[in-house]
Parts: sequence; C-alpha cells; structure tokens
Amino acid sequence: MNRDELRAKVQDILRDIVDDDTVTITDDTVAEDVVDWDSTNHVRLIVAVEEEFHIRFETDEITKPESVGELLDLIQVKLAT
Amino acid sequence: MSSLADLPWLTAPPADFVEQCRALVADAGRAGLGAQAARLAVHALDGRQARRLGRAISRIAEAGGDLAPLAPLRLVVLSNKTFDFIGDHLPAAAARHGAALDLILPPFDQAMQEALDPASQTRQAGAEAILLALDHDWYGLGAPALDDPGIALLDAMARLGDLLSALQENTAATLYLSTVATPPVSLFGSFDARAPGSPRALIEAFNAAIVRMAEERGALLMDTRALAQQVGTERWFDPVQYFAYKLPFASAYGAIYADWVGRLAGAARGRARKCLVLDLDNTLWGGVVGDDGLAGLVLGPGSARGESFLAVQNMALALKARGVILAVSSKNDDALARGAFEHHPEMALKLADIAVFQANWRDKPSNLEAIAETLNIGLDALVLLDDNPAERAQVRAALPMVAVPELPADPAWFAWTLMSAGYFEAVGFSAEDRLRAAAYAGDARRAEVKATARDLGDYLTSLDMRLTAGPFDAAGRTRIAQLINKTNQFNLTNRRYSEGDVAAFETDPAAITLQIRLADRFGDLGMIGVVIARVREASDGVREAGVDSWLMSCRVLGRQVEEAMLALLLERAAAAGATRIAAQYRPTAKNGLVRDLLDRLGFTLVAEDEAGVRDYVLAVGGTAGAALPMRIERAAEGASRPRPP
Repeated sequence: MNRDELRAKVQDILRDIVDDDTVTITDDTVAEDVVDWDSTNHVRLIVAVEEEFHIRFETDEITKPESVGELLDLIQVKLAT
Repeated sequence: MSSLADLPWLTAPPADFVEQCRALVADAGRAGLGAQAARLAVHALDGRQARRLGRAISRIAEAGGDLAPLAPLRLVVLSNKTFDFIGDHLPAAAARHGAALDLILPPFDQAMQEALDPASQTRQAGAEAILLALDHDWYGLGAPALDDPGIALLDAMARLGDLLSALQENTAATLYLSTVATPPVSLFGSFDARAPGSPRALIEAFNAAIVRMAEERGALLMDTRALAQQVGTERWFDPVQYFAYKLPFASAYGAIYADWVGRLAGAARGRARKCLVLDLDNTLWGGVVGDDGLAGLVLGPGSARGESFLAVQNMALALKARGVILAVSSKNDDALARGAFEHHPEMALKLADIAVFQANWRDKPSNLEAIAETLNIGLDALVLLDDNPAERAQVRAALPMVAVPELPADPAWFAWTLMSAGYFEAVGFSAEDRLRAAAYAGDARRAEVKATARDLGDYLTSLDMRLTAGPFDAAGRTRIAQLINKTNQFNLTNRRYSEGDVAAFETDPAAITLQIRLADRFGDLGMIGVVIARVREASDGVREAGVDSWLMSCRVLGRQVEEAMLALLLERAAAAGATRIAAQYRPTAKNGLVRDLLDRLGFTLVAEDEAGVRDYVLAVGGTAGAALPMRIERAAEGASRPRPP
C-alpha cells in the first residue's frame, strides 16, 4: 500500500468516525482542522487504525503523532516491521 | 478457532450497512423501525458500525419515532474509567436483545456525585436502569492490604453500600451491579490464594460480597469477572490502553461486554428467548438418518465427531432442565427421524424431551411458525440451531425475529457457539422455570403447518446458485456410485450400481447420463444429483427416453434443482431424438418423499400396480418450464464418451 492509498484509508476511517463524508486530509492536517476530531474521537481513530491494519501501538507511539503525516509515518513503520 | 471477541455466532454486516443506517434515520417518523434496527443489530459490528447504528436509534427516539417492538430503556452507566468506546457498542447490543436504549454516560469517575447531587445527569435523566461499571481501582482493591485485609474489604463494601443507598434513595432505577475482574498480576505467586491481603484474594472475597449485596438489594448482576475469565484476564486487561486512555479493559472486548449488558437488559424486560429449535441431521448427530440409516449415524463415544454431537444434545438437555422448551424442525421423514430418537442407543435426547417435533419436507420458516403457534409463544422467543447455511439464510430472510446462530463447520464448536450467544439469559431461576420443561414435554407433538404456500421472494435468487451438469465421466465415477448407493429418500427407483456399472454407462451409446453439481454463495455442495435414462423404441413405436434412475441429495431440497434436472433431461432426450420421457416411481420404505414428484413436475400417470409402482410419461418439446433461480452450466462431453455412431 503506498502512502496515498494509506492516507485514503485513514481518511475513510476518520470520515466514518466524525460522520462527515466531506472531510479531506493531507499530511499537514492536524486534529484542530477537523470539526469533531476531539480527544475521544482521536482514541476511536487510533483504535480503528490498529484494527484496520492489524498493528498495535506502544505507549510512546500513541502520544507522539501531531499531524496526519506523522500518523501515516508511524503506520508505515509498523507495517514494515 | 472461534473467539468470543468476534461474536462468531453473528453474520457479517451487509455491504450497505452504512446506507441502511442512514435510511433508518431518514425514515425516523415511520412505524416499526425497531424491527429494522434489531435486524441491523444482529450482525458482528465493529465499534464504528455499532456507534453508527446506536446514533440512528437515538435519532429515531429524539424525533419521536416508533422503536417498537424494542422495549425502551433509559440506562445510565456510572464508571470510574473511560466508558465511551464501550458505550459505542451498547445501543446496538441492546437492540440485538430486544431493548431500545437511551444511553446516558455522565463524566467518568463521578459515581458518588451523580448519586448525591440533585442536579446530576443521573438524577435529572429519570434513569430506569443504572449500570455500575466500577473496577478494582474504585474499590481500592488493586493494591495489597497485607497488614489489615479485613479493613480493606470492609471499606470496599461500605463504599459500594453507600453508593447503592444513595442511588436507591434518590432514583427509582433498577441497579446493575458488576463483579470485579482480577488483574493478571500476582504478588506472591500461588501463595496469593492463601494471603488474604493479596489483591487476588481481596477481589475474590469482595466478589462474593457483591453477589450477596445484589441479592439483598434486589439488583441485577453483570458478572464482569466471569466474562474476563472466559476471555482470559491476560487478554482482557491491556496495560497500554489502560495507561494511555484509561480504558477499563482492552477495546477488542467492547462488543462482547456490551452484548452481555444487552442480554441482561433484554432479559430484565422479558425478551430472553424461550425455545430452542433443533435441526437433526448433522446438528444433533453426524450423517443423514434417511440415507445413512441408524447404524450409519455418528454419535456418542468412540469418535471425536460423535462426542461433539453428543455434547450438543447434553447442552440441550441442560437448557431444558432450566426451563428452556425444546423443539425439532428437520427436513426429514417423520418415522425415520422419530426412530432415531427411539432406537439409537447413544441418543441422550429422547422424544419425551421434545415439546413439538416437526420432521417433514416443508420449508423451515413455515415449520417455525407452526412451532411458535403450538407453544403459544412469539417467533421472537425461538432460537434455531441448524448446520445448514442455506436453511439459516432462508429463516433469517423470512423470519428475522428468530435467532439463528452461525455455526462453524466443525461440530466441536456447536455447543460452545450456542451457549456463548447468550440467547437464554436469565435474571432469576424460579420454581416455574423448573416445572416448565415438564409442562411442555412428553408428547413430541406434530404441529399443523399452514397449507398456504410461502412466498420465498428472491431468497432462491439470493443464494446465487450455479448448477453444473454433464454426462458421467471417469472423474465423477466414484462419487456417482456413492450417490447411487447411498441415496434412499429422493430416489425414484432405488436401483444400485457399482463403479464398474457406472463406467459401463459412460460408454453406452444408448444411455443418457447426467451428473449434477451445485454451488451457492455459501460454498460448493459438490455432486448432488444423478440421472440415468435409456433411449429405446417403445412398444407403441415411439422413440422414448426411459428413466432408469433419478436421485438427488436431500440437502438441496426446496431449491428447484429437480426442475433443473428435468429441463436438462428433456434437453438431452431431444438431442437423442426421443419424443417422450417415460419414468417410474418404485416405492420403498424410505422414498415417500418422491411419491408425487413426477406429478409435481408435470408428468402424466399412465398406470399404477398393486405394489404402488407408478408409470408416467411426459412429451419432449412441450412448453418451456418457468425460469429457474440458478445459472446452469453444461460441462463439455467427457473425453471418455465416444462420438455417436
């Protein structure tokens, strides 16, 4: 899966969680840019990403990403190992 | 392997699940939406899907919509951990078990404030039920109390007692207490069990106290401890999710936890199931009694499969002893099916255990309706245990209110699956429950199946059947001979042929042979039908195809496969220059099922002798039959088949 496909999948999950099919994300998107991307929905997103890609984040990884790009970096690292 | 976290007794949600949820909301003012919501809820949903359905349910309620037949329930959850992600699953789980939840989640770790503050959400909401989802931390039992374990235990009990008193004084809600799961960390090792101040020993003692308090206070009990044990506490507790998000347990178990709560809510509202309807062949025993005979059934000690089926029977007996009514619905010959109960030495279930016994060739939905009517209970009180995926799909499509658990292919999992699905959840066990089984049982009576033809709608089309037909060939020889010698019920003439005989038909220029295979969206059913006919000059000079053998596996009854077989036979007879089909029904002890088959297919009866042998004819090239709900593929002529001279 290349980065664009990965981003599209994460975007699908995020759209589902915030129930808004118009949400569009780029690597620079941060939570504040998206209505309803609050801390509760952030946990939903992380858990859904773990399920979708069959990966598990460690404690430090969960708290690190501050943008969509950093989250995608992390998923790619996890998928590669 | 089956895992509780996946709720494997539920089917996967439909591809258009999201659209269906949206349609529910768009329709919010319409009546009967509860049944549709329940229908969407009986799938294995992930957190997002469950949350979406839950939102649809609450929007219908907000719009003043009608959620009948679901029983409305305003539930407050007081938790000392992050409950939102578990809450995502709760409304869907409750709908699955008959309740329309209005879920209220006050801020976490405010249980006592919610009880005492008149302005709190709990007090203002007018809760009908309050679930106390409190874990070892809230009770102060996560740390050792080696110096004075008795005080630690009394403190925990006093804390709960104060909360219960405040809630009972200030609200009218039914309280759901929770037992406490023990974290999988030991202090001493095995000695924990003998050190009263170890967290393990403290929590064990405290759980016993909670069970007593539930009894004294008239509260319900959510046995979180039992669920955690069944899952395994090592998996139940997830330290990463605990420290990062304050989740009380791993997010993977949100769905099953919510299902357990949903069962309780449903049972408290009288929505638990009352009757277990059992299929017979390959559900209660291995094999097909009509074809394999009593001696051929796999049941009881001596084989792993036999023990698996016996375990299903013993589970049914255990359910009966606690008041669940047992019934049978099987596509079978009544006398043969009853005979297995009466004469098979390994049968744990007896006819006297069965309240209604439906062994016939009618469709299952009609039989389930007859069972419910005879027992005077609702269809929503039935659970059908059936190994056949197509039968399950038909019942789900026709009668969505009947619970039909998915079953894996391996019967070792049947009893586990049935019992893990929680259909028969109870909130009490009374003298009436003990007596119910006796009141219903004893007669294994036959219920009248309504004669009206059931409109199967597009059910048969939805099976996506692919039928493959070809002449006999070397590759099919063994299976053809097996079918010819094993099929007793759907078999017009019961002529038996060896593999050598079958091989001879392959090269016989006068023989028309058909081997029929069927696959559907659930899988490949393999070879399920055989026809042998012989082209000959009849005594009246007509060139006819005389049917020597025509047989079919009972697994594919009710799918219009026999119509397809006739169409294929007509096609081949025409190609061979025959203008008439001649066929015979030769009665045996087991083939009453096909006594009227040829009449049904449009043949004309020309003679019947004293032994009941009937002769029929049908003209070739008459009117075309109705469209069949399957794709028919004709296999190429076998290589071993010689060209006609």
